[in-house]
Amino acid sequence: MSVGLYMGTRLRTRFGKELRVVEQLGDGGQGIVYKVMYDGKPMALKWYRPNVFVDKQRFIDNLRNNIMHGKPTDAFLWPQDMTEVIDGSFGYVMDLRPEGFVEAKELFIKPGLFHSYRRAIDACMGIVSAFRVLHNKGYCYQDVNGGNFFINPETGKVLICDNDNVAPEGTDTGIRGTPSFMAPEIVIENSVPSMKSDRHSMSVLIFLLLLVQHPLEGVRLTQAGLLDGPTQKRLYGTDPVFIMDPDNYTNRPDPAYPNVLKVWPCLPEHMRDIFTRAFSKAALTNPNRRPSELEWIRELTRFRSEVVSCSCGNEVFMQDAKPVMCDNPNCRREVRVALRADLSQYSLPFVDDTRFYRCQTCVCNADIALDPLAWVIGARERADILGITNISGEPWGVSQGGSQHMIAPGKTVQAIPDMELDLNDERILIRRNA
Amino acid sequence: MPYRNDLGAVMRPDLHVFYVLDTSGSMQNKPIGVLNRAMDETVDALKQVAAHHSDANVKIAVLEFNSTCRWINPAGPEYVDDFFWQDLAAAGRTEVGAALRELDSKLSRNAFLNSMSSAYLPVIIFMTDGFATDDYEHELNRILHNKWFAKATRVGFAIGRNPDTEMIAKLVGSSEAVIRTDDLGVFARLLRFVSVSASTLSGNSHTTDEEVSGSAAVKMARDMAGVSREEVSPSFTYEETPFRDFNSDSSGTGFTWDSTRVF
Repeated sequence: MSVGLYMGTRLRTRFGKELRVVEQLGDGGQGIVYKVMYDGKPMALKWYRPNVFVDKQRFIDNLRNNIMHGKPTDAFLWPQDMTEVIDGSFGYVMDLRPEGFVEAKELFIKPGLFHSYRRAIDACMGIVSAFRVLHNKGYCYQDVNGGNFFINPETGKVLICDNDNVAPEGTDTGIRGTPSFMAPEIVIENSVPSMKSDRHSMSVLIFLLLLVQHPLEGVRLTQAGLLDGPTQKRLYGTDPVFIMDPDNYTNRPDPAYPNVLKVWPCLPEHMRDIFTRAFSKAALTNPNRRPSELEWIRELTRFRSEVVSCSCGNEVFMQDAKPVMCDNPNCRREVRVALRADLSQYSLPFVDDTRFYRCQTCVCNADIALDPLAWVIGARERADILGITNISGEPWGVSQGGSQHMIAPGKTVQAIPDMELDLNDERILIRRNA
Repeated sequence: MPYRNDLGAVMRPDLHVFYVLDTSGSMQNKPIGVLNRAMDETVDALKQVAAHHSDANVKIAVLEFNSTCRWINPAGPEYVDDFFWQDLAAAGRTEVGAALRELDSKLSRNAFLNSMSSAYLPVIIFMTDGFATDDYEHELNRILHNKWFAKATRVGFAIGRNPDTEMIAKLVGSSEAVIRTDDLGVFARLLRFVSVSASTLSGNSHTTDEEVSGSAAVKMARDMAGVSREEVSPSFTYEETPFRDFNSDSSGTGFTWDSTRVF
């Protein structure tokens, strides 16, 4: 038994409720997580060990503020209530982790839990969009690591936990995080965590989820031998080098860990560009040069639409809906799609499960970037007959062969070549692919 | 695109956890039985750490010493998931110096630490219930020039009626990193908790110049086990003068070099 709460213990909370400890769920360095009955519902309680805080009062004040302000979105397992302080220990109440969610770091070890890149991209989009809301509310997260993000690999849904460290931009909570996820300026202790440092951490997380390798961990890490504090400070702080840096070849991926070497060449150019930008010397040294949430959302939504399944089951990336060779060595077929969707800036393959978001069709701000507009679906009777569903909440105009009609929200229309969808001022043109 | 299933696990540094265990004659009967069961549970707890609390590949190596010393895994540290405890028997003298000499020879990139990736500072856990029957101090002075040893997270157990607690303090560098107990139940629990705390602390990356200390691991283990400092701490204090000159040879020329220099 570790020091903590006995099963059946009852505690009073700040909101005058009572909770009862039911079972222990996990045991970490900072504290223990229990399942509790709280206000008649099963919830989770994070119970801190005594003496884990440098400045306990500041931590409690911040936690109380977070509880009062409420969760930014449903993607956060947010503190909802806190307990009384007993013998120097206390805890906070949050929702339980639902079935089917695993810690992000499990996906770094077992990448195959994601059955498809689309799901992995969905998870990345979920993370970026949660950060966008958090940052817009003036918070920064501070402590990104593989244990703080729960992901459902079947659906790509994301839940962000350990929100006790979330604090208003500019607050020094004393939390510095996990070095491999920390922005260089935090590693070298030049500044306190900020939205801009969150952006670096977020980029690292996206790279890890998609390419299953840390962007700064190449031969410099494997050849470092003894990984002591000063060595890590150099790798992540004073002299970080992107493993795919176009100019600096000193930290190439270690061939013993070939994930990046396999995935990187298959990525569409715009994804390679944004990663190269996010981990360039400029962005590593100047926080203002890091891609914003909106930029990530734009590239990820496009990327998501470019993933197409070959008939062998392998996924390929198709830039501008152009034919591409399947790289499954047992297949090697040319993958083509019959239809494509022309947007103002690029074209996308038009296939089952293609999704269109507002940021793909027009210039927009981050708030509405991920508003869904349209969703492609195969007919029940024949998968190759495609329909497009209006999920925008507003009626569309559709024109084809000179005739025009309206599609109400929630309705689906069969997609045929040369159909033009008019979504307010935005256009999607469906074309037969040459 | 490569199948997601064809992608391997992300590169993770190794974390080596060494146990240096006294299996001399005085450990016969109950103590060795308790040690065997405690190691069983410790290995199980480390599997949990490896799965959930660590950014590292956790590997175990066990060196038992009595009149001679012997690695349980002579081929080198094994991944904790592949490691299963095999019971040890007790007999013979307490040749601590020989054990240190053997440990020194294996704590090297050319020996046990020759993995493909880099490694965090190792964890080394000592246990004895007696006094050395050889000249351990000579060997200790040598091994302290081994950077893997000197910078390791070292913890020591002094158990039984009459252990050389001072010797253990010298092996681990600080009296605060020693657990002194005559209660085999407390020993078994703290062995498990300190294995967890030391490997959790060492197996997560950090960038401070201050390395994870054995005393921090012991403090965390006491907190986890609900044992007070007074119950298990030695009655004296000892603190090793930190070695900074890892570049020097062991002849003790008196020169020092800046070990924090960036290459």
